[in-house]
Amino acid sequence: MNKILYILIILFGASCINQAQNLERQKVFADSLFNSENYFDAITEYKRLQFFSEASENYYEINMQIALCYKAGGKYDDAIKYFNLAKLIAKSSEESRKIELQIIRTNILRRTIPEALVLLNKLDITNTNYLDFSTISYWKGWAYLMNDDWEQASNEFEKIDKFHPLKILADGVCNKKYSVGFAKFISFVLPGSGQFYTGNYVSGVFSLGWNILWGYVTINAFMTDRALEGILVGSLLWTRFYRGNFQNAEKFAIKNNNEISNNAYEYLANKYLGEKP
Amino acid sequence: MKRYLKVNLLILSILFSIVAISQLLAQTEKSNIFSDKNRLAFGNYLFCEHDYLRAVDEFSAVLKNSWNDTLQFKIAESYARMQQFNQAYTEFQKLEEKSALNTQGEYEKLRMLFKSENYSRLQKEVEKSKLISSNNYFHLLRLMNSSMLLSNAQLPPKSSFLYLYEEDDKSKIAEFYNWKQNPPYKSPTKAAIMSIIPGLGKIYANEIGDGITSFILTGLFTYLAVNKFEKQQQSSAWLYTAFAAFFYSGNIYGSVAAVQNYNAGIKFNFDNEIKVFINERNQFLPTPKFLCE
Repeated sequence: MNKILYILIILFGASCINQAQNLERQKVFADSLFNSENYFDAITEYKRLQFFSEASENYYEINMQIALCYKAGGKYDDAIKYFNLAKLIAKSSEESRKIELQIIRTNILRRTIPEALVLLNKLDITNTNYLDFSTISYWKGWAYLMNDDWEQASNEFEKIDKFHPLKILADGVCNKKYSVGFAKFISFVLPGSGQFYTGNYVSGVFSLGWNILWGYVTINAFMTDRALEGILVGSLLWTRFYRGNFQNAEKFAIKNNNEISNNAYEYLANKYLGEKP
Repeated sequence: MKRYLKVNLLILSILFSIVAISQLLAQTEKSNIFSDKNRLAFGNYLFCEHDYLRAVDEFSAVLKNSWNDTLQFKIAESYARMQQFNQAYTEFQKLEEKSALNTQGEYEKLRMLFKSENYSRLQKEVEKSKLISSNNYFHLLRLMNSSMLLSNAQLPPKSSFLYLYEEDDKSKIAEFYNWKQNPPYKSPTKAAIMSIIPGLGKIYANEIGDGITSFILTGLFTYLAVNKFEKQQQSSAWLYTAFAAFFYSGNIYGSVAAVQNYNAGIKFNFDNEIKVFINERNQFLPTPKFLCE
């Protein structure tokens, strides 16, 4: 009888160890899915691990991993939800700061820039080795970059280093960009000049031609006492082409600026080697 | 005394063995997190967390090993909650006739047809449904009648259409019925004919500002064209004639388009109002309840 008892005790102990080993294996499995960028399955396995894990000390890490998977998969709302869950059970201020920074970075990716800036301004950098002023400036700079505000971004990166690569990039974009107001203004003064300024010469020539034609017809009508005709041609044709001229200049300037920004974003996504949100 | 101790020890040993074996079995079951029981528990957890796509994966893995109509129902329901109504319909179809969930499954299939806006098929399926002869046939008829308001189906007489509904709903349904029989549409042909007087067609289509503008512009260009012809200024006269003709034809085309827009707006608002009314009442069908709700 005693022998049976010993066997049972040994088996019971072994099964307890086996369960712990199973959970450990599950974690390794989930991590391998995460490392192979199979984020959908990784989330499933992390959730399974969390569901069966009785030890709540693992929850911080699991929630963090789930959040990172969601972030990598572009599910930013879910990522922020799990970052916040991880934050609730963070054991140290260091861990909390780490999560807060991840939430900010996710907000930058989600393009909720005002939210990211508010959180960056609130970030408490006292009593932590993890964060300093340059980190805050770096992510503020990124927030402005993603908000298409290259000038502010340049100012933030300058606080870190006058020759910071992202400051140089932001300055380059600022210099290349066209002034939308200026393009409109010169088109007010001389129709077609806004199009020339933005490099759309054919459109500029047409715009100038139409305005000269209808301007001539309108003025000629008034000069030869055909006031009604002058009013009609002036209000329906000349103003239509005049208004179209500066609207077009504005449109071209915005389109060119978007192209310049998109080229910079492409560089940031594919070639920039520094830390990204 | 010694014998007494020996008996007690034996009883204690047996009791301990029972407890230990049951614990051992439980631990073994628990340690395999991919067992059917554990996958089911995990799937239910995911379902309650609204993570339906993953829940479907777990339920499907369990279903591969043993058939369970509740799980099949939950898979279908998961698809429905992900707004994949066609897939949900296919999954509800897999419920066997003898299943206790078959009746609810039939209701859900009809609900899916309604949600996927497949009204003509919904009406056909209600007509041939075996549930039509059950005590709850009025659920189906209410849904079928309501779907008729959203399709081109011929409506039955008003009294037989309305008698199925609850007293509280009758007045609203009667309003929908009247609207469907006599929709307040405007006629594009009438708008085109009215546009002989420039702008009048647009005013008919409730675009008063555009109508007045159209009248003034066409009138002015016509006046200028006539004026130029009288003064023998042929080139200017033809230019203004072209402008007048352009505005005049634009006025006719614009009036017809305005009436079509007006009618589309009326239809869109009407359909929307009916859908909101029906969805607020869960398509008049009994709804399933899950443990986490």
